[in-house]
Amino acid sequence: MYYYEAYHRPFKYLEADYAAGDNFIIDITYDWKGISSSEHPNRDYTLKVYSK
Amino acid sequence: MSHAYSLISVFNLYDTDTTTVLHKMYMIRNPWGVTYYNGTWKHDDAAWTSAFKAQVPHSVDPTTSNADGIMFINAADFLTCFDDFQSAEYRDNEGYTDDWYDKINDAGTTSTYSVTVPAKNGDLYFTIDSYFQGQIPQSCWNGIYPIV
Repeated sequence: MYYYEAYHRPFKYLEADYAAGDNFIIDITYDWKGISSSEHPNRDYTLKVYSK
Repeated sequence: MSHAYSLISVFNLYDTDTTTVLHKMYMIRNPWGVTYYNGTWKHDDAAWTSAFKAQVPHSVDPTTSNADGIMFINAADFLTCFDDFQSAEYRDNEGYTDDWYDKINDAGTTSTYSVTVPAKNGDLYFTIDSYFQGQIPQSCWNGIYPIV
């Protein structure tokens, strides 16, 4: 699946679709691009995995 | 790509009888810390009487808060200015569980993360977020921006 960060909408797995002990492998590749100097942040990101 | 704002508060402005709602208001912040809003209820709008200013929550002064990116908009204008809004719920007291994996100064190569779910606990969510300029102290900027 392709994750589009701009809208901050998460991937969602329904409770019925996974079980305790399931292992998820997530590959992340950011295509960083230098633009101008003062407006842009570091090359840092956070992967969050959560449920209620 | 569009821009996103934080919705800080929704509140009413009341008449002097303190029960009649005259205006339904939204307090919004531009995470860049600036605002260019030029509509009704902008910071220097004469509509901000001292009585209305006193009703703004969180001790925010609507006539100066634009300097920190905070602006005010009424309900009718809110619906015409924004095409989407989302609300979040903090659920720490409801068994909320999570794992965070921070990647610092990413080189642009693929990083692989392995997450084993310990238990069924409702629907499962994955998000990946980088950090925009309003979220990072200026001293930490390095002039690099992600394509998203």
